[in-house]
Amino acid sequence: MDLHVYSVSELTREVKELIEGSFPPLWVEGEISNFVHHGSGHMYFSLKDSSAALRAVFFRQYNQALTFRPENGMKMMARGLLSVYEPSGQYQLMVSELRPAGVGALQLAFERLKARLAAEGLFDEARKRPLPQFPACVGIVTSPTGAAVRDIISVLERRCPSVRIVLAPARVQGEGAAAEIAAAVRAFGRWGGADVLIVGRGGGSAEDLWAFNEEAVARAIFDSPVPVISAVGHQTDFTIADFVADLRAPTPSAAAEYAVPVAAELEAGLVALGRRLVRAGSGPLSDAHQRLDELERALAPQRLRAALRACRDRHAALALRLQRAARHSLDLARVRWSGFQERLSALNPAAVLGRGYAMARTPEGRIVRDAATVEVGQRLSVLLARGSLDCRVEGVNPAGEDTLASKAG
Amino acid sequence: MPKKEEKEKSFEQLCSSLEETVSRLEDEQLPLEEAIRLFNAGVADAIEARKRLLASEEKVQKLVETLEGRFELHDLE
Repeated sequence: MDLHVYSVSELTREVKELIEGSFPPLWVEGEISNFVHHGSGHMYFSLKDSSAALRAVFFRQYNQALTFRPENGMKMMARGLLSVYEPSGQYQLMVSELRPAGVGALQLAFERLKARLAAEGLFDEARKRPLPQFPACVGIVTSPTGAAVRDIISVLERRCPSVRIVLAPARVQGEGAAAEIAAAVRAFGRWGGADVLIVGRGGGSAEDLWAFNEEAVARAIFDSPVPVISAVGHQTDFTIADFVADLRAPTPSAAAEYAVPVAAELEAGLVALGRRLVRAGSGPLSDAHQRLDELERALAPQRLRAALRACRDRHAALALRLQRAARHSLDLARVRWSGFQERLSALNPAAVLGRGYAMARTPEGRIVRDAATVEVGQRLSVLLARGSLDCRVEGVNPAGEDTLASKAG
Repeated sequence: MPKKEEKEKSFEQLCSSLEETVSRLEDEQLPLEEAIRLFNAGVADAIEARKRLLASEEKVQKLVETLEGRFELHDLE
């Protein structure tokens, strides 16, 4: 009976080989307890459930990527390799990745992506475009079989029967959904026929909506040349797609309402415009009519007579004024004429002679003004007011003596 | 009736051109000829816009990209 006695090391090594050889990397879920964040950066804790516990070590090079602080009591999913730590005979999980379990895991990924895309500017208000007022064609990216597409189509058709509706079908949940949604959005961008896009799906669990939290979808919406309305789930669900879209609608039906105006309201506006048009257009027309009426009235016989009378009256008045003016000017002329006459007669030598002056002339008819020009013995004819005298000069007295001027002086 | 040109005017363009016509008629002292021309253009816009608005698109179509990268619209069953 050869009894094999193991050394501790030997046994421990065999256990180690057995354990490490039979478990590939695995995920294990449990609640954190005994959490220690060591000065070295490594983390040590246990994962436990109601009836068991598992030691775990999370080395610094792996735990640096964590975006949250693990705490005792948190439900976690840890991925790693089982190994045996020989010095203490402990088997433990060498953790390479740690995630909050269930919805928490998704939530975490969501927060992480959201922070990254926000930092990149994908959610900036400044780049959100206004929706077209009157889209001729609405593009839809959703599942062709869900309730969402029916809701969207019925709202669009009710509000605006003339709008074209084009669907680019995409699966909206499960593996590969995000890629299909992104591809459909990009296809609309390349096609260029839609004026606005509605991208979404009906409500569901966080996992159901997950595709709309994926980066591929966010990027496709961000890159879309066509304005995008996101419509994911119900009122309370916000997805990454909602943050990137130009407008977030709480539900698919609401998205359809945002997308198109109510045709009936537009029609009322059109009718009102039409009325204004008729009113505005009849203005110039009725003005023209009025002018024509006036002209017509102007040509009517009694108006013509009146016009003639007015004409005659004006003519008569003018004639009268003309006469008066003429008479006036004649009077003026007469007055001026008589003045002229007087001045003229004053200049008449005969009138001067009439006042007692006499005019002496040489035989050649030259009037004698200066005694010095006359010689003694010269013959002169002296003209009087009535008749004349033939005289011979007896003596000459030069100027200065016995003249009118000297006498007056 | 230049049908071709009107096809190229979107509903939005029809409405804004109608708006413009109306305000010109309302605000400007236009010669009669011009007013009548504008009025007629406005009436044509109004009729076309209304027709456009009340027309109904019966079918929802599906956008299909062919392998060559062309797009086709198929009726949705």
